[in-house]
Amino acid sequence: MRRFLIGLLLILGLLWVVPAQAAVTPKVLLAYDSQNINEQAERKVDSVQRLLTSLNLEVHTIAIDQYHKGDLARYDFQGVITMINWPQMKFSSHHFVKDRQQFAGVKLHIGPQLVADEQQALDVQVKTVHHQQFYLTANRHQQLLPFSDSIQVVTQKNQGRAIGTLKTQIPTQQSQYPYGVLNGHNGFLPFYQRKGLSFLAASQLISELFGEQAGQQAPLLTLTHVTPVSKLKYLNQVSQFLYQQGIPFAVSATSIQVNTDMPAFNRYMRALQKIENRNGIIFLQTPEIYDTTKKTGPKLGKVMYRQLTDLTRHQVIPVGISTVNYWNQDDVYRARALDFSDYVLLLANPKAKAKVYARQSNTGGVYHRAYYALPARSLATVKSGTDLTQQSELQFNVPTAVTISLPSTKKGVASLKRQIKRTRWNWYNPATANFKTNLQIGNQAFRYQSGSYFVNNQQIVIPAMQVEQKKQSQPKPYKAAMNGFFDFQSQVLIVFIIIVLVILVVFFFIGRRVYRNMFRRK
Amino acid sequence: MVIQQFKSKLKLGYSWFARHISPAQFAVILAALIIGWLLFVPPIHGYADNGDFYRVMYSNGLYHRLGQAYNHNAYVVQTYGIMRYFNEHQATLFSSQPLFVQLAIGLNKLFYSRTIFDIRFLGLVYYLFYLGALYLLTEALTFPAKRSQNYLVALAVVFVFADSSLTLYFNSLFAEPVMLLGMLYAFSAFLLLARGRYRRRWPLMLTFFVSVILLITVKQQNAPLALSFAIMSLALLALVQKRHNRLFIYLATLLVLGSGVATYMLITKDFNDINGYQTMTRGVLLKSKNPEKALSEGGIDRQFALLKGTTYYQNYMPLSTRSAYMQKNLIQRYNFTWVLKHYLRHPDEFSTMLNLVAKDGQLTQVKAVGDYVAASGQPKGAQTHYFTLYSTMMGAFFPRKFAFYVLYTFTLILVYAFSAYQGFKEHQPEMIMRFSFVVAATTIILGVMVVAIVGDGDADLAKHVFMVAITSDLLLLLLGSDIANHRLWQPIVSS
Repeated sequence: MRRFLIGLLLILGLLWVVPAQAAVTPKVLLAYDSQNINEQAERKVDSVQRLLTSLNLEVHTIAIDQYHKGDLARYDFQGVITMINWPQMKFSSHHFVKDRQQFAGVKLHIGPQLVADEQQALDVQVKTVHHQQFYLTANRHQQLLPFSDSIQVVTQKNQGRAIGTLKTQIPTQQSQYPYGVLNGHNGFLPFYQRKGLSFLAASQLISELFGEQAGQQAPLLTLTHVTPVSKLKYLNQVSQFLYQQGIPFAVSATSIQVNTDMPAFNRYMRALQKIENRNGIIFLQTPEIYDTTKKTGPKLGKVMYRQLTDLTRHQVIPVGISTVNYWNQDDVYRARALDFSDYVLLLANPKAKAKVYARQSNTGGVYHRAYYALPARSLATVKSGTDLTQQSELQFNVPTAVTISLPSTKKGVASLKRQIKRTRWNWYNPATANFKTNLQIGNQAFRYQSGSYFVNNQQIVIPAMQVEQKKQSQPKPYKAAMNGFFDFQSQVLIVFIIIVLVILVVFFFIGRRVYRNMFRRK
Repeated sequence: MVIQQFKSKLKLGYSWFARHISPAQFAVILAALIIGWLLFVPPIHGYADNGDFYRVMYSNGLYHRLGQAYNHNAYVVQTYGIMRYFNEHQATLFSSQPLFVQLAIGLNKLFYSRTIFDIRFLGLVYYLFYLGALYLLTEALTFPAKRSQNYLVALAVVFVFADSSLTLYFNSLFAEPVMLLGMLYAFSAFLLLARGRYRRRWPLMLTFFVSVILLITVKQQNAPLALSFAIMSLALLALVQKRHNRLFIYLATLLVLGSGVATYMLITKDFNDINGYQTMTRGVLLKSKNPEKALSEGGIDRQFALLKGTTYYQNYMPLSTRSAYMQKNLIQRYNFTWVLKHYLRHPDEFSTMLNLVAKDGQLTQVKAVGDYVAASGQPKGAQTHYFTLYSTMMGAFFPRKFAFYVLYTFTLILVYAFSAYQGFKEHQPEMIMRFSFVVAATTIILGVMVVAIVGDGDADLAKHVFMVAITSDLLLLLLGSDIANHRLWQPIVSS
């Protein structure tokens, strides 16, 4: 009876908690016509997913032709994004078009094929221009865009606001079109790019359209490709340099769950401790997976637990988990690897072929804070216009991690130092900002707040650990009773064969002498 | 009186038997019954997929039918779908195995179905070739003596080569049956030539070279065997006197060496990377007392010691084995000579690894996968014990030390060197050729073991040393039959 009551209370508790959470997370439907992998449009889908997740929205992604009548209303979406990646194919669904027309929430259209009702809602007129190359100007910066075959631009805008301007290159034809258009709940982007000024402008539009408190924030400098087998010498040099320059930073570092008793693992731990002591924070990056089975979930859970335990045992306390975006679109990965922390860093997806889902859900998880990882080189646009790294007032509208790969050569380290010295904007400082993370492993709670680490609410000091030179002991192989016999038998046979060999050789010579004597004249 | 009568009846019976059934026919009939029951009578037996079948399946236009799990190492899959439209899959590796698979698919289409492939057709193709090989083998071992002992030799051949651990391979997509067939045909043709069994030589010569080339090209790991078989090819020179015939043998030997080189060159980058990676992580690092030092001595970042014991496609690793960093800083930093140098500098580690191989030298039954079809009602991964006495015995009692293999082969070399010496003196090509086979077999046995360690660490070891078991079996049979026929140190005499 008592058990039953407890069970009942638990269920009631869950019922009470779940809707309360669901109510606060707004949902957005991201509907694309095609992933168009040939044109790498799947990377654009990935980028938009991450942007929306970093705006704390729950992203549901579908292909338009998978849309069922009434989905928009049934699942209580607050916004819908139409993304056209392969206009030649004209994939569509009249249910979707009709439902979208009646939908009262936020609507964004990315790409061509802006239909009449969308144009009406935006209060714009559009036309298609062919074979053009445009300059994009926004916030006093400008960027030369790649040549485009065909692009749908807004020719007349009656209301609303434009973000950025597209100008043709031809001097005689001084036509200008707005880039992003915002009108109330409606938005339009003629195209989407993952880098440069056009990304910044697009992210500004998306955050203004969806975000209630779209504020600007400084980007977090993040070193990626930090692994236990990285060149630790260079990792130490880079962290030392950043510390001397007074630049706070983060690393997205993987760990390992085997051979952790080797000195090599201690050296890695020491390098990460140094980072913590040098005003750096650590995101634990999720491991590589090549194939999945039914057991992937529990195994992954164990691996993550083991890695986190090993790290924290060495006083390396991750502030969050970093992962490739598709892990956040997967039920198993999210539950077993990402839910350890409320802070995540979302890296771009690998190539389509390298994506291995365990249970693809197409529904993104939502976190207290999700960083959008933006490679630093995608801002170094000096060749095509303003070098964005030289701008001190660059707008980042979502939590952004500007990422740089850890170099693996001396030359690479020098060039990284130059690159960082050149950058003019301010970096985000987790030690002074409102950056408070929790990490629950078993019964231990780890917390990072204002530059300090806490274990079970007790502040700890990260020491510079001495590398212990543990004696390597080879594990003794298990010996079965019969093995002894077989080993013994092997030895006996070897001895036996040696004896036979010796006797044979002796006989050989004796026989030879006898044989020769037969012919020798006496 | 009764005993006398019985004896004479037995004699009569034997002479009738000996007149009608030669030892070779006897062996084939026995083997046909034993193997046929295993392979074709439902519920059939075979080897289940260890994860390598896809390499053969897709390039040959086969696919898993609906409702079959992709990685099915618990049960043998009996039927596959045959692709009906354009097959976009390229061969993942260069191999002679598709010749047999395509023949089986052709027969399947002719007699059974154009859409569903029954693995028994592949089993049948191998089975028929195998019976032919057993015939030639018994003939080669017993010719020309017509003694009753030779029925014992035939029984021994059946006991050794009808062992299920070998024949289970026939109902699978593994490449081992081609190796088994190639080796038996090459050995038998070679010995039959040496003993002058047939008046015409060229069919046997052709059989020898074709089977050697099929054997070498079937798997990348067999490329080094070209050297061993070149020894045997050159020994054929003892047989022919005519100049243009000698030229033919030289050319054929070159072809054998060329097929080895081609097989080696055509290893795809993926396979090189997999083998290279595992040579390090499951070889050099595995038994090293100080893995970090082993790496830094060879100019590789010692942090990579953390990957000790991992495999190429191991999940939950900190970075992809295919990543540029791994390629540049680990996989491309060493090669075969690097590994060999390391082992020569650390002979104790090398001997530990070699003893590890020697342990697997006689294990022919694949333990990782099941032998039954799901419909048989056997538990997952169940292994058959039907006619496996020989392999079980060899696995248990054959000494598991590398040193033993060295001594064993050198003893045989010594034994046969004596007769080769006589052969040279008395112009007996048979004795020279027999010796050359023993030398080649020695290089195969020892070479395969060393190459397995230097080439892929301890990964998949038992399968990599498949040739060791069948070569040492052939050596044993040769020795046994020579002793039985009293011709170890004497030239052959027709009795």
